[in-house]
Amino acid sequence: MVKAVQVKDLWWKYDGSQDWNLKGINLEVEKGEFLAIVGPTGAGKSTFCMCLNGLIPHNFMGTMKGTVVVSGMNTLEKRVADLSEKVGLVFEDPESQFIGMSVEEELVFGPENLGFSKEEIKQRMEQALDIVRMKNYLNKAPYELSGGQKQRVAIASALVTCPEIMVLDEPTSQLDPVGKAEVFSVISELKRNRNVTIILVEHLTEEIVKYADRVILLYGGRIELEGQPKDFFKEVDLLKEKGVFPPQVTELGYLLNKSYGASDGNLPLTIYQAYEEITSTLKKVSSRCQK
Amino acid sequence: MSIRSYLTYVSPESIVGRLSPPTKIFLPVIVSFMALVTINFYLNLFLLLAILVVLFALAKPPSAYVKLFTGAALWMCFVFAIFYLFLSGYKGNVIFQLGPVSIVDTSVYMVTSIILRFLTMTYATVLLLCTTNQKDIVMTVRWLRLPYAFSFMLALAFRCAIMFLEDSTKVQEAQRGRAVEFNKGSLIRRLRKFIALLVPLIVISLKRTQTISNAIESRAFSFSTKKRTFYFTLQVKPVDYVIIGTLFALFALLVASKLTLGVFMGYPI
Repeated sequence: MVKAVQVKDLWWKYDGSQDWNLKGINLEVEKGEFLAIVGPTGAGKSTFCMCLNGLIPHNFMGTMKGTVVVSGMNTLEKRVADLSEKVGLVFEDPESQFIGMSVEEELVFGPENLGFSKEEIKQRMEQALDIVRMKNYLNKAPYELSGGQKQRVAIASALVTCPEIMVLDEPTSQLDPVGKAEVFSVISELKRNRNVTIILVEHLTEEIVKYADRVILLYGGRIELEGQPKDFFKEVDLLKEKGVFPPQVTELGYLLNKSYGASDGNLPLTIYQAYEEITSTLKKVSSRCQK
Repeated sequence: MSIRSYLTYVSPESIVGRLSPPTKIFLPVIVSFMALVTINFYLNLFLLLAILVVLFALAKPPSAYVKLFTGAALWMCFVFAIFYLFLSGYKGNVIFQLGPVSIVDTSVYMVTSIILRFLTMTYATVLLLCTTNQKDIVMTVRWLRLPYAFSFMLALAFRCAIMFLEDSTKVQEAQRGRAVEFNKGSLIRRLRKFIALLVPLIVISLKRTQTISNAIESRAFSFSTKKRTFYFTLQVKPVDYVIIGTLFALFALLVASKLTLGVFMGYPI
C-alpha cells in the first residue's frame, strides 16, 4: 500500500546557509494518520513542511539530497502545481497568504488554476466552507474577519482542492485563545470525519495530545524523538532541554512520579488522566502515612 | 472613511451601480479623456455638468467622498488661478490692472479651461471610486481579453496595497507608542523619523512577498498553464454595449472634429 508520505534521508541547505537545515530526515506517514511535529524555532519545521509540497526545492535556491514522495509522487520530479492537488499547505500568517479580496475569490483561486468547471468549483467550495463553518462569510473581505476566521478560510482554501494530505504550519501561533479554539475545532472535524492525512506543526502540546497519532521532535534539522503521545511526552527532561514544553498535567504527573513514585510509568496527558493520577497518588501517600 | 474604504467601497443600489463593470469604468474614463482633449468653454462646461448630473442624480456618492475630493480640487483650482492669472506671463488684452499687477484675457481663458477640465476629471474619479471596486476593474481587464498575467498582477497589486496600508497603520501606532512624533520637528527631523516607519515596513513587505509567493505556488498557480478556468464571469447587457458604444463614438467624433475641422477648440467664451 502506498504511504501518504515517504521521506528518505532528506538533506536540505539554503543557499548562503553555513549548515544543513535538514539533516538526514527519514519518515513515513500512513494514509489517514495525524502526525504532529514539535521543535524550537529554527529546528527546520517550516522548511520540512515546504519540502512536502515541493516548494522546496522548486521555489528556493539550495542543495537537496534524498527523496520526498507524497501520494506516490516524487517532489523532485513534479511541479508544485501538480503536487498541490495532493498536498494542501496552510501557513502561519493567515493574512499574508490571501490573494483575493473576498472569501469567495480566495476559495476559487486554487480550483480555477487546476481547471475545474464552475459547477465543480461551487460544489467543492460549499464542502470546504461547510467543514470550516464559514458558509455565511462568502462575500466578506479578509480584513473584515477575525484571526481565527482568517485561518479557517486559509484552511478552506487548501481543502477546496480535496487534497489527500493537509500540512498545517503553526496555524494557531498568531491567534488569540478564541481563534486557536476555532482552528482546533476544524482540525478535530478533519480528523474525525474526513479521511485526510494531517501533518501539524504546533507548539501547543496540550492540543497535540488530543488529536495526534504520532509526534516527532525536530531539533537542529534532525528527528530527535518519535513516538505515540503517551510515550513521546514521557521524555519530559529531554523535551524541556530541547525547548519543547510537554502538557502541564504531564509535567505535574512527572514530578509526582519523581517525588512519590506514584505512577506506573504512564504519565497523564489530559486533565482527566491527571485527576485520576493525583487521586491515586494521594490515596497511596495517605495509606503510607497511616501505616 | 479610511483609504482602504475608498478602494473597496461601492455605492449601494444606484442606477450607475447596477450597470456592468466595463460601463462603470469606461464612463468616467472616457469623459475624462474628452475633457482632456477639449478646450472649448461650452463643451468643457457641458462635460462638467454632465458628470455632476450622473454623479449626484444616478450614482449616490457618499458625502465623505464628495467633501474630500471637492476640498482638494478647490485648493488646486486656487493654485491654478494664482499661477495662470499672475505668474504665467501670457500676452493679451489687459482686463484688470492694479499698480504693477495686471490680468490679461488669455490668462482668464486658460485658467477657466484648466479649472473646468480639472473639476470634470475630479468628479469622474469620484464616480469611478464610488461605483466600482477592485474586482470590477480586474473583471473588466479580463473582459477586454487582456493577458491573464495582467489581470492577476492587478488583483494582487490591489490586495498588496491594502495590506501595505494596514501594516503602515500598525507600524505607525507601534512607533507612536515609543514616542516617535511624525508630525513634529523640522522637515529634516520629520524625514528622519520616517525611517522608523520605512525600515519595519520594508522588512514586513519582503516577508509578506515571500509568503504570498509560496501561497500562490501552493495553490497550483502558473502563468503558463493552459487549463485555467474562470469562476466569475461578467454579465454585460445590451444597454451596457449601447452606453459604451455611444461613449466611444462621441470621443472619436470629438477627436476627429478637433483634428480635421478644428472645432471644439479655443476661446474666447
